[in-house]
Amino acid sequence: MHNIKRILACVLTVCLTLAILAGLTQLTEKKEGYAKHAEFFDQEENYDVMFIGASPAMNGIYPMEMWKDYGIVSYNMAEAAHPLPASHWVMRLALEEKQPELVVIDCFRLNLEPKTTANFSLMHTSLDSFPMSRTKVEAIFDLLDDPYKYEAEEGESRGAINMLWNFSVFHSRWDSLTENDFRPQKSYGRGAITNTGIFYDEMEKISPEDKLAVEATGLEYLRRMIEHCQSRGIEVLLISMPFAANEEEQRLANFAGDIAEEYGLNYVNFLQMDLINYHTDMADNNCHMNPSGARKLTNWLGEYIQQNYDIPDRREDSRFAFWHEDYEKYNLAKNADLQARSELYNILMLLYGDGLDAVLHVKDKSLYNDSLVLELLGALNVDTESLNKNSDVIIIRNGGEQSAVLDNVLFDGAEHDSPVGKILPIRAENGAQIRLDEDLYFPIMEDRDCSIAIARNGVPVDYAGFDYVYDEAAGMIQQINIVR
Amino acid sequence: MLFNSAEYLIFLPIVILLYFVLPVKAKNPWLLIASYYFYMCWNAKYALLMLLSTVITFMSGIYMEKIKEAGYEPAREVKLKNIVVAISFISNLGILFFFKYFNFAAELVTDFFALFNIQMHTPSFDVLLPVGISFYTFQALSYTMDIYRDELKAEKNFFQYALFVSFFPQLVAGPIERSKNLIKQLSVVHKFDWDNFREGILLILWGFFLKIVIADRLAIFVDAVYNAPGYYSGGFLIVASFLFILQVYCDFYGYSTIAMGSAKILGIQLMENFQSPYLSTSVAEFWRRWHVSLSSWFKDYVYIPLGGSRNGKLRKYINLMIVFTASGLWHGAALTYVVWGALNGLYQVIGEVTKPLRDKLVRLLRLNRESLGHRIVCTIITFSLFAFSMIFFRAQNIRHALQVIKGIIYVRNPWIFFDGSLFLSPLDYKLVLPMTIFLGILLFADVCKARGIAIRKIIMQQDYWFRWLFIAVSVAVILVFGIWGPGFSEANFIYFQF
Repeated sequence: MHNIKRILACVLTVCLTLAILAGLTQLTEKKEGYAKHAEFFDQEENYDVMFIGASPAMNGIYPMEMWKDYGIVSYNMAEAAHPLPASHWVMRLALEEKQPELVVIDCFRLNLEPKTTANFSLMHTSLDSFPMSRTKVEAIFDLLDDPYKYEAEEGESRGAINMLWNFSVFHSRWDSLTENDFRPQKSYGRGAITNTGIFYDEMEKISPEDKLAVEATGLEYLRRMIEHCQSRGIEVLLISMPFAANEEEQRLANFAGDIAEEYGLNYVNFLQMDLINYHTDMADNNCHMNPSGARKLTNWLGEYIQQNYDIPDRREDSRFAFWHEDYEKYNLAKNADLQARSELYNILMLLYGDGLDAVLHVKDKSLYNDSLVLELLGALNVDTESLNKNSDVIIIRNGGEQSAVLDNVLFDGAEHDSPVGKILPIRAENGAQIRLDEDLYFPIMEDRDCSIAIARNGVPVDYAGFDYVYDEAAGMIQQINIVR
Repeated sequence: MLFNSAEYLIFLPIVILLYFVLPVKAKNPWLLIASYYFYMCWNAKYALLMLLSTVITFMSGIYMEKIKEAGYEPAREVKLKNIVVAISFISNLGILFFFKYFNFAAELVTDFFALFNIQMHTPSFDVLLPVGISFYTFQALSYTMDIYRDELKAEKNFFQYALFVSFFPQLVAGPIERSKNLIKQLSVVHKFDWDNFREGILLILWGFFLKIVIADRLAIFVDAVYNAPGYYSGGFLIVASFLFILQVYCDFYGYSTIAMGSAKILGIQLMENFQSPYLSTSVAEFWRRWHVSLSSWFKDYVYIPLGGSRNGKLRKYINLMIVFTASGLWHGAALTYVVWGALNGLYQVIGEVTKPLRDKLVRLLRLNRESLGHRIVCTIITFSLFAFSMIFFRAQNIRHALQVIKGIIYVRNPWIFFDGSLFLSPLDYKLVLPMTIFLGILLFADVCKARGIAIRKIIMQQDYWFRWLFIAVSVAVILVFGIWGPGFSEANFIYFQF
């Protein structure tokens, strides 16, 4: 009896230790994965559409915008630097949690052999937030059983134990814990990660008939994904996300169409479409779209899904009423992103398709010589042909749905009629302003080379002035400063 | 297999579980198998060396016993025993010399002749140093000596004796157990004992705390500074030198404590290797408290046979220098270790020589040697002297050591302690508070130990909830603050190389 008590004491000590370690594991683990996936697990209702892929899809498809425009309840489960085998396991794990009607898979780099990325820590971001299950164990052992795996960095361990119990990796974060570790914040992007920036890129399209057939691990796992979905009665749509692809990448994307045909699936090859402006819509030279590009693609894809699949519009469904609230929180995050920008280019880019109203006041007209600014304004429906040395104010409504240009504005209280409604330039005690919609005021910084004031749904969001010099050789402005 | 590896954390419970589950006759064979497996995890071939050493010392014991029983005349008996002891020592030390010192000796010979412009070509062997060879060789030789001195009866059971030489908790880094202590304990059947179990667990936790929380964390700073003495100088080197001796202490003390804990669960009491050495008020006292199993080995088997302090002061000083130089050499086949050992011998000789003068000064100035202030000053001096000697222990070679000393003496940059630049180095300011707390815990534990207060016993006397919580929180603290897992390779224990 005495021994039983002691054994029980040992067991309880072990349990207590494990309980403390479980808490510490949660505290010390990196929270990127939590931020990205928290809403996926929190939502009791199903997701109708799930997006699977790597960073081009993660940065390029915005479920919240798809919700706003089409009422599609979707989640972006694409993960940074995930080859198709890793994406396959993310999808399998996600399908254990939710049963969507449609899975959209980006066929990015189906010729890759390695199952995981060189930056192995990204595997933690995607897999750590999934609860322990047989599939997760299977996933980890399969991903680590990889003859093509990248060499681990010095001191880096890629053992199964590190993936199954991430405390073994992250316990040393005790010296860098922040408030976010104690009160983890989730993003409201439903898995999409915004990549803000502009990289001026070009792409030369090749013939859609020019294909590169391959047999590789990536393709093998794409087939597995399709077959798994089909075995569970889930529809699959294959896509190839747009980026400034080289010839080989385009040929591979063309070949992905054959795979779709083989399985009787729809295939959308964005590389063959003129949807994206590679001058203004890419965030970097690494296949990632910026919000402007992502909104264009999301809008197109939402409409395509609505037309081709039986996916309901849930905007009036009371079970999803919280999505409307989340969308407002999502807007706040977008506002914060906008307010964090210091380059005029990025601010103009962020206006696209986001329901924002903006007033751009231009004092130094050399801005109109900048071809990138003109392309960005063009995307916002500004008649750039009409811009001249007298064009003082540019008004953009609802993310570029409408725009107007005012010449020789005197701020004398004289009302102007324009395609965007009545515009009243006035000079108040605190400086020049433009009034729209009777009660929406946009301040102007007259002493700056240009200034921009932005509002969302009638509420001011940002207000900034810029000074710049025009670099004739580069054909661009060189921004000197920003004042907020 | 290192104590701070996942393998050991699997190995130890299996060994313990089977030891207590197996029938009496199978217990020690099981421990022997486990010990050889433990050793062979490094290099299976080198287990043969240990076996050879075991056979030689076992047979020497048997022969000496037979000689004693044969009833020879005393003179002849001594002569025969001398022959057996000589064979045992020469063969064991020969193996040790070949694997550990041959290349070093050949290098010394070459360098010596090079002084006279004589080119010598001495062969060198590309052999790995067998892990723990110095430890088990000394342990086995202590057995030979104990039989020779009639302090012990020869062990008749070879497997029992083989277990004494190879007992895994203390196999590769000590403590160097005495045959009188360990063989007797190994011959007794041990039943599972809850008190031993609890005490063993607490010892293992304490050992892990010392090793992976303190020693390995300090090593980051020490390594960075010592590996770039041209970049880090002055204050950095002073801090690194002091931290290094804390690192070595926690590293070796940690290992010894894990060894004690592992053995304790099996019901075997290993000797304490450290008795709060950094609280010593003199170098002589320090060496009675530091690496006790080795110091006492040298005392019993080298210093006393050399005559100890019985043949006059000069002879005593020579004996001290011999013992400490040999002790330095035992630590490694390099001049740095020889200088380190000799320096510690010299400290003691100087201490002895100046003792009358110091005593006179104390009387004249009416100082109270037992006062706290006096003791603290003496402790700091002893600590500093040891830290200085350890520059040679840590340095890659004599030139490197001299470069470090030069960097300490000639570069004066005291502002690094005030302008924050000390913390821009690998000694991250975020570490200062936790490390201060951890070193404070170590100091507290050492003070308690020196005063005979057994913290383990106090913990074990507490209510069950406190004990559970203490163990759970200790595990959590070790795992959070310890250096382990990816990003950090399992750091070797410093004393493994010896």
